[in-house]
Amino acid sequence: MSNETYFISRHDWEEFLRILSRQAELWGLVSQKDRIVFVQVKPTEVDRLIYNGIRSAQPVKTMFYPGRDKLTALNTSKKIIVGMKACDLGAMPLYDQVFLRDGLVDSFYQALKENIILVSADCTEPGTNCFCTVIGLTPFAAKEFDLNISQIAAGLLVETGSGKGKELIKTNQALFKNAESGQIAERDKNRQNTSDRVKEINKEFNLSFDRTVKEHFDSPVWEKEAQPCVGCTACTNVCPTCHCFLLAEADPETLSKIRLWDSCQYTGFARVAGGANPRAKLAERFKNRYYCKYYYRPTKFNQIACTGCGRCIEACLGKIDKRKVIRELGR
Amino acid sequence: MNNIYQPIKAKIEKVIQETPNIKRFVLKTSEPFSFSTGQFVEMTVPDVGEAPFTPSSNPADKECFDVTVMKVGLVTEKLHQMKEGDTVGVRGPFGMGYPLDKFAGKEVLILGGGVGMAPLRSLLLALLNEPDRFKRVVLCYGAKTPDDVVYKQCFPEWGKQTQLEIKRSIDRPAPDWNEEVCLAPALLEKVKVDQKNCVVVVCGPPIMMKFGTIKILELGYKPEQIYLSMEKNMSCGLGKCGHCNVGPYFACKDGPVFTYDKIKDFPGIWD
Repeated sequence: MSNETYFISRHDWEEFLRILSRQAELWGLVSQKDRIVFVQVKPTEVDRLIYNGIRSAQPVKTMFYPGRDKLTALNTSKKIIVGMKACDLGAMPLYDQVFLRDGLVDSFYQALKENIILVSADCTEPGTNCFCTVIGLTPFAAKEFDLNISQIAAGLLVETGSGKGKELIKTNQALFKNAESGQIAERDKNRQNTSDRVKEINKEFNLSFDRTVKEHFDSPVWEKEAQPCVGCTACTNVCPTCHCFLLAEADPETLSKIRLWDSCQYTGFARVAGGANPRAKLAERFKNRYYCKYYYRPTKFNQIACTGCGRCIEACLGKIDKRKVIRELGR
Repeated sequence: MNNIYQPIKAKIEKVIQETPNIKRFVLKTSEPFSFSTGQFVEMTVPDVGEAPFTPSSNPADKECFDVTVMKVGLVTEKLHQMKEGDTVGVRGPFGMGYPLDKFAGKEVLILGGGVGMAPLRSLLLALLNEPDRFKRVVLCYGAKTPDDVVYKQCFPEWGKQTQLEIKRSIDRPAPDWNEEVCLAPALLEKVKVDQKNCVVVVCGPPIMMKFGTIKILELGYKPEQIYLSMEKNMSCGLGKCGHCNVGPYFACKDGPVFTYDKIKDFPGIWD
């Protein structure tokens, strides 16, 4: 199936969203003080949504994988997510592998995902902490979306990425025009500009994260770099790819469970009854996070468990910059 | 809806006091349940929590299965207070278990320590189900004191099996103990095994796993001959929750039984 690209004016696009939101919750990125955040918006407020700019401060994974999920009934409410960036979307294949593979289907994740229309948008304002290009990704999405929007001077270009996306356009065809080659060229130029800016931001960090980590397993640098870490777990909470959870008791009668986000940065995460703990020291847990992202998950799932969104750098109480840690490791 | 996280109910049919702090629970599930030896289950103690246990019974018994539990934490403490007729939850079985097809035609040397004998009892019974399939079985089992020996009532029966050789030890001399006195790994020096055509299976407390493996390597066995039951903090049992990683592997799904060559280079395997 080949992707199709359409042009739509901002006015008509907002009309399109109002039509879609008659049957679904509308979620997207809005400006709040000096940040961009991910929130639910009313159909009457579609003009608040922004498509340009950086990714939201918080990850969009909460939509597929809530921090606290009672595992009793499926949530099949329809939702539209508008404006999520490639660094959130890039985590989806990993989530699919974790929650859907080998016939061990997590129906709760599956139901949430199936009922979401994913409309991604090109990133246009990478921040100083962004490093998607270092990981080998781009600041615009190539797949995993139903529709992707790119803002150009005259309005929006909309690309279809799934049958679901194509169908949505087909039923509202009057609002869309075929994109002209000049418009696509404008989009591609914008994309190139953003990619170049991410590369410029990261010119000091031009190294292979996975190879560097793998080659320095026993480096004393780990201990040193872990010094400012306070084990707060902010990095795992804001990470779009972190998926670890705890199954806790919900109901003693039915024995049903509740699924809560957990973090490998907690002391007791890997501790077993009897007290043995493979990662009793903070530095061991710190190191495990890098190993998980750049070695263990790639070995297991053939995908780096990091999209370069830079949220872990932004959220760190100890002001740890992951890129600098890996650069030190490689020295 | 298929809910992979939902336990089925199981009734405690019988409780057997194995040692002062180890009990064996015979469980009957509300729905059909079977396992391969070495696979584990997640057991829910209502209102307290869930923990992984490897069945210690014969996988050929379809009516009931056993878990043998040492009192060491919140879940096991509460479990030890439970009585016949009480209900627990069961999910599973999970993981790969012992690859009996790879043991076929070989001698099977088993090193067990303390409550680590639980999965090994199941393995032993599975091996004895098909005596012609395996060349010979040698069990080396160590406990701290005579009181701490599990399955006391099973050993006399096992002693009668011709293809099974048993060596048992306790850590320090005690009255009325006329078997070996040494740490469990030292028993390996006291048995004769065809090293070239043999697998070694190890299960016990972390410290014994470590020094047992070192001893086995010293004796000249190869890492790929050594099958280790990795005790990790399995929570979901499905390779999703991330708690039980051994390097890139999930103990719950890729294990819990690993050959030593697969995991030897990853950190924290003995803790």
